[in-house]
Amino acid sequence: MDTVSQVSNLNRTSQSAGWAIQTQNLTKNYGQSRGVNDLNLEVREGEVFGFLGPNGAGKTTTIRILLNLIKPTAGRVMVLGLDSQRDSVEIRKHIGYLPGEFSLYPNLTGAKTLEYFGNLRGGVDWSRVNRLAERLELDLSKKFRQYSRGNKQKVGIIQAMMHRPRLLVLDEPTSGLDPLNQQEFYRLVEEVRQDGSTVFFSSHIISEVEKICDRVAIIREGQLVKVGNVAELTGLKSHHLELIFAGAAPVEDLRQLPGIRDLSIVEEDGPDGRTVIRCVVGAETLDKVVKLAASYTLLNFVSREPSLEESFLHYYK
Amino acid sequence: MYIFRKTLLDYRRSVAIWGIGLALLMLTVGTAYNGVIGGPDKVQQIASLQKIANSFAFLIGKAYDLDTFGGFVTTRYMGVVPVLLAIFALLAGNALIRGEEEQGSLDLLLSTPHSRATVYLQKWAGLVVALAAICALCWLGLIAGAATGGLQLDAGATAVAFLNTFLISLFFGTMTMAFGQLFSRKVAAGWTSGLLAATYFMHTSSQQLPGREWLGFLSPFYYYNLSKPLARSVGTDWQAMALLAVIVLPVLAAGLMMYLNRDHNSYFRLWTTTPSKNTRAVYRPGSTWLKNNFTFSLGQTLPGMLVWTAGLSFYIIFMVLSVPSLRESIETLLSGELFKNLGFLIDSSVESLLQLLLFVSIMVLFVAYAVTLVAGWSGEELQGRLELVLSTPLPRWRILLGRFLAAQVALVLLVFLTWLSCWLACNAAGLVVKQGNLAAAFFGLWVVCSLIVAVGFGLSAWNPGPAAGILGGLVIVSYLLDLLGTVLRLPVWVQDLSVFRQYGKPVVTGPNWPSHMVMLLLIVVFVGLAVFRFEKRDVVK
Repeated sequence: MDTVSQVSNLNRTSQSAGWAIQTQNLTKNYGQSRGVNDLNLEVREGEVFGFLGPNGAGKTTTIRILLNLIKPTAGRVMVLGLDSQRDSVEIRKHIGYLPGEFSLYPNLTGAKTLEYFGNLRGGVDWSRVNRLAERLELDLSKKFRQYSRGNKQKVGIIQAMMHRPRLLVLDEPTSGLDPLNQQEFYRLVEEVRQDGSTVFFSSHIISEVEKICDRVAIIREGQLVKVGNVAELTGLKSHHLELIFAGAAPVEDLRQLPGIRDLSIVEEDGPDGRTVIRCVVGAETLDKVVKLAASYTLLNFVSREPSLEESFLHYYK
Repeated sequence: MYIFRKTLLDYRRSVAIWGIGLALLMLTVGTAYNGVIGGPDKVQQIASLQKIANSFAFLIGKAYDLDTFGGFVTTRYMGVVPVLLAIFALLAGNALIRGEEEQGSLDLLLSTPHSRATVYLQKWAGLVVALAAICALCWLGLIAGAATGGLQLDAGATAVAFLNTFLISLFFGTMTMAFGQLFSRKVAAGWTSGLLAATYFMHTSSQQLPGREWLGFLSPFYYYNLSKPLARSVGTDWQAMALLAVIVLPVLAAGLMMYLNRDHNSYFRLWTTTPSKNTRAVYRPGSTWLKNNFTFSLGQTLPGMLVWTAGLSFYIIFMVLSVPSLRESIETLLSGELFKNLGFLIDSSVESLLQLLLFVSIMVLFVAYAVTLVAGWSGEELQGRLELVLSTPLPRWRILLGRFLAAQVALVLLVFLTWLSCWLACNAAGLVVKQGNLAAAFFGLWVVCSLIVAVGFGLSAWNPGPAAGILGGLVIVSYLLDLLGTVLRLPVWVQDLSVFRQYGKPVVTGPNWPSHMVMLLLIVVFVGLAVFRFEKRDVVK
């Protein structure tokens, strides 16, 4: 088996060099409550991977298993080619982790907190810490308890990135950051990617996923429901149509078509005799709808692509 | 009244544990009385017990009417129960405002349309009712205990006795809420604990030491002890009880005033400090305390250790300097038969006096410190601070052992510095003590405290949530086994389970190596179990 040091000798810029994370039939039970169930997930080295799902879907559980903070009930997790439980210490040398919720020492300044965590990692380049703090506009001289929520989050982000980890695991990293600092964070993630590192992060903010992720996985009720790149996911999406007919409309014929849903008649036999229909059409049915509508007097045909958010919400439900 | 009801709901478990625990203790009182005084030579036993109790007055207060069951209860229990209840009040009051603020749950509560005054007062009212419930359970336990032993006890007077207990414990609960406006939860608990210990010993020692009577007037325990409703020769001093009730009010008002006039998540200050203009001074890493997990844990532990060392040293010096003035009166008692029956020493050496005057009490305090070390460790995980530490490439066993070693260093320093205080005080007082035995007594304290810390780390490795509470319970059971084991005629092997019994009286008898060796072995076993379990289990979030 490759060790991390061996793996690190591989070409870091090659995205196909190997898997940063592999889970095989990963299951975690919490008695009656749900954890994750039979999760198979693969994250390539060098990619930014978004992990989405509604609250309680199992995102944080998965992340904590990667860090060996909790043990899987069944299944196996490989991180950077190493077993997450057996080689946990070796793996953690190369991981930067930002928990969704964390607590630090209230009477320690940001600088001292980062120095402590840097020392636990065998020392870090302090000039990088200062640069990160400057970019995120964080005053390191304040005590942790004096920081606002956003500034506490910045301390967490810096401690996750300061040692240039090969794998960044971030649980809702932009939570609490203002828009300007969010943009700076996206730039930092992009730099990490360009450096050849992998970023695995959970988020609820679809726009940031769309913006910075190469691939996305959606988890619901502890099970993986979709994995793909952003383009693929948006390609699979439906079209939201609005059809305005001059007179009668083929309402029943439209209803009969497979792949049509949420059909509603917004206006029928209006003052100028027009009929307005709205529906959601799968990509494979779009051609049939257009041909059917074309055999009637069509005043307008509006096709609106749903946002990525709408597509994801479809998987959330 | 939702806040009040929610406060009571939060207290339900601790009220049940403390209430039922103390009620069970009260239930044994009848049996204990019959065991000690119920024999054929009752008069002689009572006389001996009276002398002994008077000798221990510096610890438990004076003895009253030992010829009656009510007097026995007053002498034997009503000095200890208010301290135990005050500890509950301290812990419960400490969790209320500052505790919830540090947890972050108070933010949401303050966003509801309730004034801060309402929040403060309803939570305080919850504390009042919780304390009253525990006192009621104690009352039930004592009445049932008297009935079980076939003894007469006035139910009304018993209720008044527990009302007195309720009032003094409420004072300390209210005080810790007030301290919470000035300090963090931990510091507030420390100050209130210090105040509790200081006022208790101020009262008991002021009764014994000529010229120091005035100290007693400053202590709420003085006013508590003016009423002995179960002792017929004393009765109830309603004015003193009223005063106890009244002194709670300014403390409550002060706490409330500070709460109303401070920022949320901040401390009340009479003056504000001007922030430094150069807030972004260049930081140069290199602190020794931040080098690794061990030095960091040590840095977190030492400030508390120094406070405990200062308090304990002050107490040790005070007691050792008091030995010459108490020596004559105690020496006359040490040959008493009942002394032997109760397991006390029967010679009048300086070492015996130190055992009676000093080590009986400081051992409890040392053990309490050991429990706080465990609470600190389990709190790290419960407050989520281990989440990030465990994401660094440190094996779990190193994190646990680093913390354990830091606790050990703190214990060694505490033991060494207090031994030094004791040695210096003995020299200053002109007491000739067997130095080997004195060192053995402090070494034994280290062994016992180390064992308690090891057991606590083991419990915490299993489940950090209840670890400190369970450990505290085990310590109390261990103490009661030693205190009541002989009286209740428990089998020797059961009594031997008490760590207090295993500690023995090394200042008199020298080191008890077999016992120490077993305890040292147990320390290794428990730490090993802690490491094994901590490696295997999920980290609490």
